[in-house]
Amino acid sequence: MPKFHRHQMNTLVSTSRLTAPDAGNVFEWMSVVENQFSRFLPKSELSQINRKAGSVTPLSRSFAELLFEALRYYSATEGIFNPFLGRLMNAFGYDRSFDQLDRENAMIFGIKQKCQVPIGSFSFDLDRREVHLPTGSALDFGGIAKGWAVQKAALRLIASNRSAGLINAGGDLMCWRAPSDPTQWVINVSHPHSEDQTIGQLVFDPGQWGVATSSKVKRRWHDGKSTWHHILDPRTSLPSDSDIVQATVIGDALLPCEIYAKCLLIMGTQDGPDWLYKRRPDLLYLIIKNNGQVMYSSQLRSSHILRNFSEKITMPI
Amino acid sequence: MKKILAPVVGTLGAGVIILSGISNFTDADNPFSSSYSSSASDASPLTTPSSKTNTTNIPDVKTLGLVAINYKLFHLDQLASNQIAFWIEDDQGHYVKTLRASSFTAGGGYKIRPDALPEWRKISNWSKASKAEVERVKLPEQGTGNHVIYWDCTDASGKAVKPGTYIYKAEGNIYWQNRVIFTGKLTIGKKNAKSTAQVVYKPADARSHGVLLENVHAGFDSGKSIAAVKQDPATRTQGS
Repeated sequence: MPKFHRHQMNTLVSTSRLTAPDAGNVFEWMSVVENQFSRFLPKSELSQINRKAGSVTPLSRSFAELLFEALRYYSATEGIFNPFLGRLMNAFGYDRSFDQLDRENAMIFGIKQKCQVPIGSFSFDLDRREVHLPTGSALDFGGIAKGWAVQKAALRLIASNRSAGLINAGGDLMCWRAPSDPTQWVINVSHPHSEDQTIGQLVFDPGQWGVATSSKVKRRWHDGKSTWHHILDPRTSLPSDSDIVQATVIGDALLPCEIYAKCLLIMGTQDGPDWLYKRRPDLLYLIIKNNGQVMYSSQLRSSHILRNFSEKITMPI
Repeated sequence: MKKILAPVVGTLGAGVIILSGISNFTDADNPFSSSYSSSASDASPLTTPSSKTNTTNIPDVKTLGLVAINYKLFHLDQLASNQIAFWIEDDQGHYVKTLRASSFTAGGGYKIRPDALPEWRKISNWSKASKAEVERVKLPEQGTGNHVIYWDCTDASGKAVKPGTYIYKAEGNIYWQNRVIFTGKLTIGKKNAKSTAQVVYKPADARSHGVLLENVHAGFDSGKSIAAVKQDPATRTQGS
């Protein structure tokens, strides 16, 4: 069972049960996506479009494709998923690749004062493939670009009759196997405070599966006074203070899992599960609350996907 | 032209989204969707991504075969323990390659716990390890039981090693500076081989703090490929 990996998109991208040429194509594709959509690379298409906010800008086809998906989820989630928070993310100090961030002394600007109010409306001309980004706003495709890239790579391999495979980009993954393939995919779910520690496993039947986990712990930093993290609640313009520390969503494709895991984390346990079920009853979820309590969607609890999970995990004091 | 009123985004998002050229937005097929291509046909009109000519780090070397190192691991319920590392040296004691090391220590945990795996860190000069190397060797927590890790007979740079005698080593932290070291020799070439590692506790009474590793032994399978075996760890999903 060969495994290949490469450090990309500020995370580890790995493949399992793919041939070396297939894995190489995946890594090359992920590099293309990173160079096109990174907020931290000045020459990326996204950075250039953000710099041209206030004017009409032509888009590449693939940029238009991902922008369309981002707007689709922006609409479907009623703005809980919001791709327009790039400038706010910068204002919170997350203005460079996370491994280059001074996590103890990140610069926080006067958020209310420095965040420019967008002027004008956002328009996307699908025929001309042009976008107009309001002055004072900036796109951020951080999570969605990674999920989209993995999903497209996986679907292409499935369409090319690869009978089994897995692509994992920092915990957001797609795996698949044909009914004739006897080897189950077993996915360890990490403890929110320790990637080394496993809190249970997901075991999948044949078919294609997407799994995404969103966390308030993984990317957090300090400004000398407060601790911040990268999951912003667009309703408050602040990092989410919900009662969920980690959310895992499971479906038959990765992109919706990536989007809705983040939404659950923002909304919390009081509203999130019902909100999700009304929109996407096909998605399964696994939530870790701040106090260590583990919650599952009823469909997930009644499935045989879960293995070795407990009702509560130990959290650091 | 369709207008979508942006929901609750205050002054931070776009006030109104206007999409022209489509009548049904939310459920519509993505008009730009296509199978991905890493060719230059979809280059940005603004710039050409520089990575399109990058090569990838796919191991593609003919090696002598495969070494499997077997061990039994116990979980010690105490502080500053349960860290393990496996590496290869040549018969002169020169460092060849790290196979796996506990994620905490490999990922930099030794900076706050200097007692962690000192012998391995010194010979591997781990503080200078690249990010890719760190990610390659990180070993997530394993449960009590029998485990196996593999050496594909390549060195740290990915080149195939020459036939000869090599030393495989395992170091484990039992309790703070109390450690166990296993050392075994194996000759790799055209013939299959087996060996059992010898154990040394440091200091000599370290064993009184518990048993972390035992029954470390290795086998060389001439001509066998790393692609033919299932490797730890299982894939995992973690917060991103």
